[in-house]
Amino acid sequence: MKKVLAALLIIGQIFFTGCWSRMELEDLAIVQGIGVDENKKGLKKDRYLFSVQVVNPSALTSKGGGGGEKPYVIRLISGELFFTSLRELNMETALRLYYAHNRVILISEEVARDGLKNLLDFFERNPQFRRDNYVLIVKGKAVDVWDGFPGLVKVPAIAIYDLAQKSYLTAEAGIIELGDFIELMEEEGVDPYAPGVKILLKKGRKDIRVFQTALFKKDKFVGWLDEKQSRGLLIVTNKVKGGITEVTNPFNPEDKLSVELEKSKAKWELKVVENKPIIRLKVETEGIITEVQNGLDFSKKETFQKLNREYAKSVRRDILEFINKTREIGADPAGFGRFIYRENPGLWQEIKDDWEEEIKNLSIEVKVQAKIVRTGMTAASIKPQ
Amino acid sequence: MGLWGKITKIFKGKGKNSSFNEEKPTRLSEYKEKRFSGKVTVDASEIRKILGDPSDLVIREFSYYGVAAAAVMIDGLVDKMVVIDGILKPLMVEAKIAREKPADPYKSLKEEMLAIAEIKEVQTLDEFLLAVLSGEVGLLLENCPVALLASAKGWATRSVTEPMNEVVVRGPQEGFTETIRVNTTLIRRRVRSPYLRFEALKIGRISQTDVVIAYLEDIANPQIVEEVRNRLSRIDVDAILESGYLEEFIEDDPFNIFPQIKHTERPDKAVADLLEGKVVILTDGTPLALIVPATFPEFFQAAEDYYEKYFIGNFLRLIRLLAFFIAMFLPSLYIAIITYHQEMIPTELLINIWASRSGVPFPAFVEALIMEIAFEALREAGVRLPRPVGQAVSIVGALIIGQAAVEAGIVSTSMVITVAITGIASFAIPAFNMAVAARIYRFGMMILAATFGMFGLMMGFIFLVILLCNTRSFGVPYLAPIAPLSIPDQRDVVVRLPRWLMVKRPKHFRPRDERRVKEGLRPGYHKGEKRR
Repeated sequence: MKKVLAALLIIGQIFFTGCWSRMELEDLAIVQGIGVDENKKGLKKDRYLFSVQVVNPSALTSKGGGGGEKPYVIRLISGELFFTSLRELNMETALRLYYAHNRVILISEEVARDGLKNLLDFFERNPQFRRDNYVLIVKGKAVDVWDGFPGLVKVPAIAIYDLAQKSYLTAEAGIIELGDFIELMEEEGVDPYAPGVKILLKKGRKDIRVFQTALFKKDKFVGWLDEKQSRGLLIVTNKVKGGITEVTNPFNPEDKLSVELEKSKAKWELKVVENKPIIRLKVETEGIITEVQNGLDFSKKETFQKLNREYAKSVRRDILEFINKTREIGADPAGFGRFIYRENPGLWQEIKDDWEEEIKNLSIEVKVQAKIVRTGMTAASIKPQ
Repeated sequence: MGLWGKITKIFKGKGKNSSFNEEKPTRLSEYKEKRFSGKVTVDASEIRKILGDPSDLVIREFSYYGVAAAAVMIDGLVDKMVVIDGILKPLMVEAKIAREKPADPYKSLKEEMLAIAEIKEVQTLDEFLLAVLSGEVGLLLENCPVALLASAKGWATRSVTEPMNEVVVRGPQEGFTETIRVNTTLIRRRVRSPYLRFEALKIGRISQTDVVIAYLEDIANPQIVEEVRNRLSRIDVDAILESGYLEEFIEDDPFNIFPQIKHTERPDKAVADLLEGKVVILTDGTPLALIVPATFPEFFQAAEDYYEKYFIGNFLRLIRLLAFFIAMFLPSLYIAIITYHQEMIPTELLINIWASRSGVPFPAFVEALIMEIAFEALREAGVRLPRPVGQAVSIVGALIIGQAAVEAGIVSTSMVITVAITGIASFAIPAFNMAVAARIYRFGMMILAATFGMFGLMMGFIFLVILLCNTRSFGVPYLAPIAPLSIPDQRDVVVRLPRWLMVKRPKHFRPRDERRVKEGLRPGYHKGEKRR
């Protein structure tokens, strides 16, 4: 009898638990993007306007689709705390908001200016968020971006995600994931950065563009890097995987060539002279010629030598522009301070307190070695006879 | 006693004489002491009386040099032509033409007259009757205290045909039949070794079924053979109609759903197992031979693995292993992910499944259960029904119901796909009993997945591993050679090495003779060899 009882109790365990944390899939509202805007009313209680973009799967798949149903839904709520507001938002949505598949976090420029540390706490604490969500700073209002034209992917949040993933093609935006963003924020001697996103009006259509890089000091937004400067940042931090550079024809300044970056390697060196840090950047890049105006004679060595020089000059220009901008603003997205800290901790202790001033006068030497490795499928250009 | 005793008590039922009569181990044993009277007519009528004078009993009385004689046989079990040419003609016609009456008619009958290959002498009636009932011709002679048995067996049998359930693309197309003698022949024809042993047993009080234990004496471990012999001789039932009857009496753990004994209807497979030191048990009346001991990995090996080039065989074997895991875990994995771990699915797939599940009235587990049971019923219907009807069932079941259920929104397309893949995967397991075991285990896994999610799935998996590690088949660990691990024996587990590298027999069957391939037989040019 005892054995029967024991067996029953053990088997009973399965049924007594009651399927803790079970959620049927179709009861979930799959959130793809979260946005934060400044609420214009200015009241503390309603300080932010939170927005979520939820996909409508039946309109996205071939099954129940058609019918002109929009494949996404935008939900808005104002409030002060992130999680409170989102839970309240759940009182307006029939399905439970589910964030594990969230892809992008949009933060408006104005909100970012006031600092992000309180807002990002929610993302760090909540188990549903992934570290690989992209953080983007909106030039304008996040709510407007949710209604942008998503093209073939149908959902703007997914479009932004795909744009961020493909931004290596031009290398004009400093893409960053949520986890890295928070890490950079917390680390000493380096400031976070995030790509920008903007709505461009084209023929009455709201196109989404991911470009440029927002610079932060600690957690506060301070300014923008433009496209070339953004590429400078990517090259210096070894995150560049592409990008087109226009190079002037060394033999005829009227013509241009476009060169695609194939490989790039930046080496950092620290030199201390009279207790002042000097950072030496040695950049080696390889590029491929992808387009030539009016032809060039690639059979000569001299052509390549000159082209390499031109290409190096242009890469160097991007890097210098980036450095000048950081000097101007006093932010350090590339982590020069962190580099000094790692290489020479003693020196860092001396200068870290006024690093923001120090970086404005930090001497950085940039040396670029560029090389054109291929000319594409052909060396000759089209010559109409 | 305890719990098990209580359960068996329930199923014993009520009744006075519920134990076997120990003094009467077979139906013929009451004639054990009975000898022949020496009078043909008396004996013949005695036999008639015992057998109840059935319509197929033939007693042909004749005179042999003036001595009364009788041939006793069962019509249909004997080959009439052999009886006529080998027994009746010589005794009745040739004897009269050619010879004078011999001094000892019995001696001449046995040594000179009968043109029959196999002849036996019996003293008692029980042996005589058993032989007659097995298809031999019994000869009675006046004034003679013993009877002669002449083998003229010949009844309607199924000829050797393709094995229905173990089809191969490449390999012999012969299968065992229902006649045990044909089956022993099929084995004997493949090994011309003097060490091939066939040990005959008769099991079943009423049926007296022939059972043969086959093994190669120079390879098989005597302890294993002895164990088989012991377990078989323990059996005391009324009848053995199929080798499955034996299997349930001799397996190691009756409460384990995983089969611990292999069966095959391919003589080539049986011989391959003999050559690894295993014991084959043949049962009269069934084409399925039992093979012991059996290990878990063997259930995923098909005869073809060894006949095709090893690349092909290994590819197929890996697919079969994959299919086993799919058949075992896919529905439960699907349930666990859908109801607990939605973050694990790629977003696009999640959106897809969401769309297909929207409007489905049941939770994923119930949906899976409905589909799985429907599938099992469909499969069962397909097996049992006559072939032409079976086709119709699969069309109605698979096409019409499946399509309609999805369109009506009762089940989701993703679930249909999951169940279909699982079904196909379970058919890819070559051993039917292993496939069914996996299917049954799958239902348990589904319940665990529905209540605990991934955690439950892992519990189920761990339980499975413990169960398999705990199982033994005739003293051989079920998971051998994976656990206990034997690296050299991995040559034929997950993948099979080429034949010239499979130099030794698997160690876990403890063969007497280990080596099976001479070393250095790799074909092709070796280093230092001259190219020809």
